[in-house]
Amino acid sequence: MELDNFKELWNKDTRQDLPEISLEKQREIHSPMQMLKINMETEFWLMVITLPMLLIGFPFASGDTNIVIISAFVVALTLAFIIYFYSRFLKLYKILRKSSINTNYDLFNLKTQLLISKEIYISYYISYIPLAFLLSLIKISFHFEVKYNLAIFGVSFLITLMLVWFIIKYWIYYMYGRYIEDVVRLVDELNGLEAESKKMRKNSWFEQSQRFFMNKFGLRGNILNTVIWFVSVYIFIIGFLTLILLLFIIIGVKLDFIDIQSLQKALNSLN
Amino acid sequence: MSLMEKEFLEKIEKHKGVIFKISKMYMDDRDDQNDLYQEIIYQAWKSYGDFQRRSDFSTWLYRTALNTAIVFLRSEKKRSFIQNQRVENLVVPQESYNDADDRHMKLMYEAIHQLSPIDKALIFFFLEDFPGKEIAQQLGITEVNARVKLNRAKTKLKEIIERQKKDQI
Repeated sequence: MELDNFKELWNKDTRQDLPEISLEKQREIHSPMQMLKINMETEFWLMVITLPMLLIGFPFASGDTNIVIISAFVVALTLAFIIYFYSRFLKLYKILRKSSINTNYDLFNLKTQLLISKEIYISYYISYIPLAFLLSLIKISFHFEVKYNLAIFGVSFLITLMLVWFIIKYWIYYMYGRYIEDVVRLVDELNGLEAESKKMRKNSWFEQSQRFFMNKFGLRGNILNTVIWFVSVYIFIIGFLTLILLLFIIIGVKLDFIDIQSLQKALNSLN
Repeated sequence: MSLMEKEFLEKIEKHKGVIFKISKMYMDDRDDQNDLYQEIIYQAWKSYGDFQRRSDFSTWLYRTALNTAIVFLRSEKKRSFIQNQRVENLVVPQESYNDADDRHMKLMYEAIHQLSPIDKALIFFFLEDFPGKEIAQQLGITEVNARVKLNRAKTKLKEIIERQKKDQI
């Protein structure tokens, strides 16, 4: 069989039993934009639900009215951020559903918008850094003069920085980046740019569990996978850092560079 | 059924065979082929209102079909990403391939499946006898570039066929 025979074969391929046409979306369809939309939606609700819950634990429990008011403002500001970024994404999604001039234009448009969205998304998480700074200050009630308060402030701030770093490095990739990479590769190939060949890497645990849940529950499985990973990673990071801190305190007490009573007093004053 | 719906369904009736062939070029699994076929028709219907009749219906439809197919994600049963990796050991139901033509058709689709999404689009234009100028317009690249890319895609396909032949021996 030669390439020249392909045309003949192609024309002979006249299957009669074609699936019935339906103008409704009958089954779950996976396109990069749709997967991004689902992930964005899931993350939006996760943040809306967990953020106030997270903050209720410490600043809101304070007896100081000023701190409660400041905390309320921080929560409101953060929620406003989330709503803004999510609405920005929905706007993009609507624009992209309109097509089409030609394949290159459509793909390039998709690539550009996806990359812009990714950058906005990164800046969204970076905007947490000043908020974290403020929250860490709230945590010590703006009193640096108390012994160990500077350390408590530093550790709280560091935990947030590590969470932001983790989100930018891994979370964005698995939720959005890998879909964006595929589109970028297609545009590069079409425009004759040296497209980086796709690295054949082993599926990560996230991808393996995503596949497992999607096989079982379809797109709802993807949401379930995201929620499970969001909660587990959060618990893991907090648990891991607590363990490190605990070890540090134990070693500090043993080696006499941490005064446990002063530390206890400083921690008690937080509440 | 609205007038627009009726008009769209009438127009698409003539082209549904080609749409299914595009689905077969891009997906090797029967369920995925049906999903892609439905998705192409759904996408075409959604943007039918924007179709400004500046081009032929078929030209517009094929472009919409290819754009949908190029970024279509396979079902999670197999892989999670756009299908642009090499596909080995494709399994096609044997009962539908009885004679020589059907066997060759199976080999043809197997060979096409091993191409990248962009190369598949180029081979589609080649099989549908699109002139170089029109391929360039559809893809949004220069005519020279389109010809070069088509030749490269054909060369890749020839190499795959050669490999298939060697494997058969």
